[in-house]
Amino acid sequence: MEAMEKVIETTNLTKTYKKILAVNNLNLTIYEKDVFGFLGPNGAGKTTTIKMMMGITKPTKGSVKILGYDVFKDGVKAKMQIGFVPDQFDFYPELNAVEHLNYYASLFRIPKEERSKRINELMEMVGLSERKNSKVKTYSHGMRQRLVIAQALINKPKLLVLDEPTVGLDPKGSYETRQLIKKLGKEITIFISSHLLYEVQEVCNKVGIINNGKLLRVDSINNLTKLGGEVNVQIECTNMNDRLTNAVRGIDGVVDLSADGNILKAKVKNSGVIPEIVTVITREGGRIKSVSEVTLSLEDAFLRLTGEKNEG
Amino acid sequence: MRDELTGIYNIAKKEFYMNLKTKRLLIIGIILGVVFISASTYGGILLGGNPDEPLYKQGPNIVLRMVLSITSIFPAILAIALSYDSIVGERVKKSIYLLLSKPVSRNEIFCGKFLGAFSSIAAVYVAVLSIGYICIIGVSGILPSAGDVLKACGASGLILICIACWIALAMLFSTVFKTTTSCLIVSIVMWLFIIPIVSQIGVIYYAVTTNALTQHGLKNTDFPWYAKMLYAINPDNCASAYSNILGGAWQAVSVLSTKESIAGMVLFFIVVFLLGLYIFRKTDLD
Repeated sequence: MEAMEKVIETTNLTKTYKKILAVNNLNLTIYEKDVFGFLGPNGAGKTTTIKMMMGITKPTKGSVKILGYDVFKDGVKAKMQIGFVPDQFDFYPELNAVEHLNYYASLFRIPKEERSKRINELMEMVGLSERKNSKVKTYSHGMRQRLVIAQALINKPKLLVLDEPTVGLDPKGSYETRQLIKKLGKEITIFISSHLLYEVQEVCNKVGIINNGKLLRVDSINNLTKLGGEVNVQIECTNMNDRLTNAVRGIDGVVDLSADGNILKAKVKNSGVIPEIVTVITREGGRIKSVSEVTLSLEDAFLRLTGEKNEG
Repeated sequence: MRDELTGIYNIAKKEFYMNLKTKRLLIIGIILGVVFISASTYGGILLGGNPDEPLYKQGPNIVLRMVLSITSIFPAILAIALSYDSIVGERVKKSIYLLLSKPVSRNEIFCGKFLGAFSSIAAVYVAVLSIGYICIIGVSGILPSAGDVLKACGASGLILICIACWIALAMLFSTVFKTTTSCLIVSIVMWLFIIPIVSQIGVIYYAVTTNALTQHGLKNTDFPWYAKMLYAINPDNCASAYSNILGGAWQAVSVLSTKESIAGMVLFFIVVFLLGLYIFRKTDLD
C-alpha cells in the first residue's frame, strides 16, 4: 500500500506572546485527503496555529511543513499549494469580485488565458456570477464570505485551510458552505478550525482538540465519541418497577442508571454488558420494546477533554 | 528572480490601479494641477511680455523653476498621502492576511507597494509638469533649446527621487506603527518638523561658531562635512538641486552642490527603504 503523503506537519510548534504561551509544543501531522477539524475553546491557540501555518506569524520555536516545504524557508513554494480562508479578513473596497480574483490569480502566476475561465467557474460555484462586477464594498457579509472561499480555490489548492468559515453566515449560507467543504473534502485535504461542533462532526473525518495552546488529542470522530470506552444504552420497556431498576443497577459494569417512564438509560463500561441487562430485565418481568446504543456526542467528548465538564 | 519580479509587477500594478481610484490622489492631483498650470500660465505671460526684459532672455526654464518652488510641498504631500497606510492600512483592515497567504514573499509585497505608489504619483507629477511646461512655452511664445528641455527633464528626475524618498519614509512608518493615524501623524511631523530642524543643526552650529552668515560670497564648499551630512538628510533639498540645474539670474546660497544633493537623496532613499523592508520582513503581522 502506498504511504499517505504528509500535507501538514508541525514539529514542536510553539508561540509565546510576552509571558503568554499561545501554542505549546504542537506536534501534528495531517495526511492527504484528511478533512481535519481543529477544535478548541476561544483563546485555545487555534488561530495562532493557523497563522503560523500560513507564515503570517513566526513561531517562537519549532517548524511547520506544508507538503514537505518549510513555511518559513520555502514559503512561496508551500503557499502555491494552499488556499486560505482567514477568520478575519477584508477586501479592497474599490475592486470588484473579478478584479480581486484576477489579482490573486496573478500572484499564483496563473496564465491570463486560464484566469477568466477559472474565475467564471468559481463565481458560478459560490453563486456570485450576477454580482461579479459590483464593487466589493457593496457586498453583504455572506457574499464576502463566498468570495473569500472563491479566492481560496483560485489556485486549485491541494490543501484548504479554513478558519471559522461559517461565522456570521445565515443558516442557508452555512449549510451551503458545509456542503461545499464536504464536496471538496473528497478531492483535497482540508484543515478546518471551528467552534461549531456539529459542523466539524458533519464534515470532518478526523479531529484535533486544543486547549491552552496544548494539543490534547487527535483522533477520528468515531474514536472520540467512544471516549473512555463507556457506552450509553437506551432501553424502552414496559412493566418497569423498582425491583427491576435495582437489579439492573446491581449488574457489574453498569456505571450509571436512570429511569424515565418507560425509558431506561444506562451508562455501561462496554457493549458486552448490554446482553446481561436484557437478561436481567426479562427475568424481572420487564418487556423490552427496543434497545439502542447511544454514542457520546462530539460535544461531550470535547467538553471532557477540555476539562469543562465533570466526569459523572 | 523572474518569479519575484513578476510578483512585484503584479502587486505594483494593482496598487497603481487602486491609487488612481482613490479620492486622495484625485483631490491632491487636481489642486497640484490647478496651482501648477495657473502659475505656469501666469509665468508664461510675464516671460513673454517684453523681449527687452532680462527675464525674456532666461527662457522658459526660469518660470519652471519658480513654479516648481511654489509647488515644492506637493511631492511630500502626495507621497505621504498615498503611502502612509500602505502596510498598516492592510493590517488594520486584515486584508493583509489574504495577501500573505499567496505565494509572494514580503520583499515582493514591500517593493510592489512602493512601486505602485511611486508610479501613480510619478504619472500625475510628470503629466502636470509636462502640461505646465507646454503652457509656459505656449503662452510666452519662447521655444526652449534642446539643452533647456534636457535640464527640465533633469529637474523632473530630481523631483521623482524626492517623491521616492518620502514614499520610503512613509512606508517605513507604515511597517512600524499599528494604526493608520499614528503613522500619518508621525510621517507629517517628520516631514514638517524633525527632518527640517535636524538638517539645519549643522549649518546653524557652523554659522554660530564661525559667524559664517556675515561673510559674503559663501559657497557650498565652505561648509564643513558635518553640516553637509546633516543637511543631506532632507529630501526637500532637491529644490536647491533643481534650481541649480534649471539655472537663472539669481542663485541662493546652498549648502550642498547639485551632485551632493543627489547623492544625499539617493542615500536617504536606500537607507530608509532598506530599513522599512527589513522591519517588514521581521514583523509579526498578527
